[in-house]
Amino acid sequence: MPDPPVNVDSKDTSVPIGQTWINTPITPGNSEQPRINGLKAWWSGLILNQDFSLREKMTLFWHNHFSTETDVARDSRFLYQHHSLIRKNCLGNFKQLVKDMTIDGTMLFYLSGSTNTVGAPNENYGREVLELFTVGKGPLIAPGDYTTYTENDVKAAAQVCTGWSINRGTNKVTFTAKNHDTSTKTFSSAFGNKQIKNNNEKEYLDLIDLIFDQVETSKYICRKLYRWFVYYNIDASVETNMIIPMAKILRDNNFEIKPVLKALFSSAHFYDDQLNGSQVKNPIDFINSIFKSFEVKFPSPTPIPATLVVDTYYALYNYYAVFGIGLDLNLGDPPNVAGWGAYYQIPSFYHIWLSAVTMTNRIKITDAMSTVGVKRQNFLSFVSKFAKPEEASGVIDEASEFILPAPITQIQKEFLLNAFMGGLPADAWAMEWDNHIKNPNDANTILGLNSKLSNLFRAMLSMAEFQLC
Amino acid sequence: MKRRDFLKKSAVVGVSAPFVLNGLNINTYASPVFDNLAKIAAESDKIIVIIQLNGGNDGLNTVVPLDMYSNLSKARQNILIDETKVLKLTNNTGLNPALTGLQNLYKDGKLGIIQSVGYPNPNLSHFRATDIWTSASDSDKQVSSGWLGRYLSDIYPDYPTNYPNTNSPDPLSVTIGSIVSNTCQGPVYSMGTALSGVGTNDFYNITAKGEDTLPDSIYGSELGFVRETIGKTQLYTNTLKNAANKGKSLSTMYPAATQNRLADQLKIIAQLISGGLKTKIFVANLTGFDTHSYQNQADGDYLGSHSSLLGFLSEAISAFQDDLKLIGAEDRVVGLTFSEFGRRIKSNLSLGTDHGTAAPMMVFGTNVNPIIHGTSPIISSNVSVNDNLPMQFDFRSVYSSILKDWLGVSDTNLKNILFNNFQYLPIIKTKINSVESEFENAGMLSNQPNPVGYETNIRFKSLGGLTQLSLFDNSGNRVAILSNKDLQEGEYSFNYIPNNLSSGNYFLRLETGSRSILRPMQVVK
Repeated sequence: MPDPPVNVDSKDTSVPIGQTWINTPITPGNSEQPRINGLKAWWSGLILNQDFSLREKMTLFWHNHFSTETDVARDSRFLYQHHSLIRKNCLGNFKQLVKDMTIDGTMLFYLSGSTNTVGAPNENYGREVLELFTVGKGPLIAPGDYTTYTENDVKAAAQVCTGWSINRGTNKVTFTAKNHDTSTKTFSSAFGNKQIKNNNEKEYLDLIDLIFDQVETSKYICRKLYRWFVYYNIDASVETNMIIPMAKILRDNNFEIKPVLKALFSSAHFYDDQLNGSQVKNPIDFINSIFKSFEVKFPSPTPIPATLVVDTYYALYNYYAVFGIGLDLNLGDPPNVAGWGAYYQIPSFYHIWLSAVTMTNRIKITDAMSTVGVKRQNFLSFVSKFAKPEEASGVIDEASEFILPAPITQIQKEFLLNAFMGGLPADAWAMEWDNHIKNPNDANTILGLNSKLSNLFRAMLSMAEFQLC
Repeated sequence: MKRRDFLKKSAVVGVSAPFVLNGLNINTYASPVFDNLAKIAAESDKIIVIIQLNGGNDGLNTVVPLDMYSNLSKARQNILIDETKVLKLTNNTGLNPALTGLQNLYKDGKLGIIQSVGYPNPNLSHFRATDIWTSASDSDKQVSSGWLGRYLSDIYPDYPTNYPNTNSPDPLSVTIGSIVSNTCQGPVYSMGTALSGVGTNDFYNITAKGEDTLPDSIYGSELGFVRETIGKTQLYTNTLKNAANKGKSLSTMYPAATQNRLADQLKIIAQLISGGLKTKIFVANLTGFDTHSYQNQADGDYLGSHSSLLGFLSEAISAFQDDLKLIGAEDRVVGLTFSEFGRRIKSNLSLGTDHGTAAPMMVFGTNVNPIIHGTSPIISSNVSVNDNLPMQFDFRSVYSSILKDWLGVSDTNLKNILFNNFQYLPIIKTKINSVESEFENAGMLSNQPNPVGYETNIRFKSLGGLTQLSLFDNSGNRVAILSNKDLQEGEYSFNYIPNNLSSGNYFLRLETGSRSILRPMQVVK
């Protein structure tokens, strides 16, 4: 686990700037917002600084799966614990994760589990744990019967989970026996008409065990993984050849996630040319791809640097987190409990990421990044590593291969060359490059080269191809 | 539209072909006369504004059934609104105290309420229920296009190729926000655009170029989608920007920006309308209605999250209606609210309500019939946690009547858009429909004996034409259709033996003319 988020805002008086607040109650009267902003910035920083690992991609996957909103939960310590649960177990055991999630403080509050008591149970969590977190919802085959569960199962699940509450002051999750429904809960034929007898604070474990006994649970999560990593459309062939075998691996490995991902990433299907570039980048992938394209390195706050510098880092990370909001992915605040529509909304799926509004915002970002943003940092050092940086067409060949998901055509390369040189002949680039090699410190030459590169990358990043991965 | 196109579309929307083709007269459908009529209607200047209340609005605390108050007070004592605080519309019906603006609109004859709107066999999942409401499908059918998307696609079958053009220069629909509403999803293409604001920053000329032949692969088709989006964005940004620059919102009733997120959206719509945008469909939304807990602050206190949401709704619609009058568009706009479901009759112990079924819809504008359609939902004296309201009206009757009377859609085409015929309701003022509020239902539907042991005699009146008699259980599911045929106007009776029903509370539902009547029926075996 990375070092925890720290205080960067003087409005939070509970701990000094630069120290973590994760174990300290908020000072009475202080707003939770500075800490929540800090948590989001910290998370953005981890995403921007990631190396080649699955951790961030899977952390975001589970955030989308067990969707909660900081704006609703508004308790920084519970939110950090919730985030840590996901992050620690992002490549761990799915079944255990659902168990832990059921009595997680943020989740208890978000889906009303913390006020779910005997007498008039609150069905919020009982419904979503079935519909969205585990077995998923099948077609309505009879009144109140969604194939994989029924309305009565929702009520029974809610009854099983009665008795839990959270205390914001002590930051504790507690079980109160007198608030727990001790009756025997009977489930529908979708669960083999199984009964769950009173088991007090351990009863929720019996519920999750029962849910995981259903084969549908393993298939449901594998479809979500497939949509996350491969493509949104799951046809009969994908269901048979990918989902069902993945689900079997999951069950055979007692719901460990790693073996399933290993199988997915080593399948021929995963590398099928047909599917290359078939995903619309989600906003996080999109923003990241800009920086990764130009090998921009962000400063890391680990280990924690001198106090005054910390808020500068966080401000920088937050700047990019705000980009995400304009693109409809507000890290920590999905639109609702189902997560982002791109991963479930028929028929649009990934297309949801691109509307007139977000498309405009995406190109605003790439325009800004390729003119004033990244340009200031290292266009020149980026192309210097190319095999033939002295040839304009060589720069285009290599850059497009690196930045775009698939080869582009000769006509497209000519369009880029035109944008690159702005009407000048291609050999003007070679001359300027030659000048630069001879006088590497000449500021005017660097300026001229950078300005040309800025034109090229602005055009390349606004091509439709750049939206895909 | 050509038959081939129609079949293609049917396949795409996932409706089984025989279902749609039965009763569809291809010749009528393909006739040039019809096409022209549809186009003429579409080119009129009528506008519809849809307001989605996301999360499932608690209908019983929005439109309060005063004639059911004593039973309501038993079912939801902890979130009950004090009877004296309810804003009275009629003796039987009142509004949540936060809805003062809507009360005024009702008094001014600009607000209609349709009671207990739902559909047979309700789905209590947010996502599935939202899909059902936006697509207008049966609850057991998956349809991926939206009802207004299909309406637009029927009029503009060749969209998006060569759009915008001189005849159709503006977006077909505008959703305020960053995602086009599913309501406007066509069988293949999204039939509209999204707009987040009308500030200088919201209009940015994107200059993406560098296109060439698409590769023949999944990547190629996705790339085609991205290019299409970029292209349409470039083109429609200009028309939207022009309308926004020319237009002006004039009402002083709007709160300051960002104080009411729905008012901000409606204000943008008013500005675009006043700027001459020819778009006919606008969609706005207000989120936060999933009030599982703390919808009220404390027992007996009506203030809380639900009250503030309704306050936003009331303030936003009032200001918008005022604005429409000032910009001279009052008679051109009809508004409609919907939510994916109402909430449970019985409240939970968290000062909240769980997912429910039927709930009221509101329509507003100078052209709506300013009445309460139907009667209060029936609340029994011993409501259990399983009880949910049966529908009084089908939501597709509302859609269908608005499409017909406001957007001029022909009967044949209505069936193509909504997959079936639905009851006509006089929601929009026309020359022919009569205006009656909370009609007298006495003698329309009864059964003896009730409770039913073995057999019961059911008596009902038909107003003539298709008359449907059905039976609903107390979870809102339709368990039987007892009769569904064309009848002469008059009184009918028959004996019914509820063989397949277990003991419990049910509702007989009669649908005849524009009326829908529910009667409780108990079965005791």
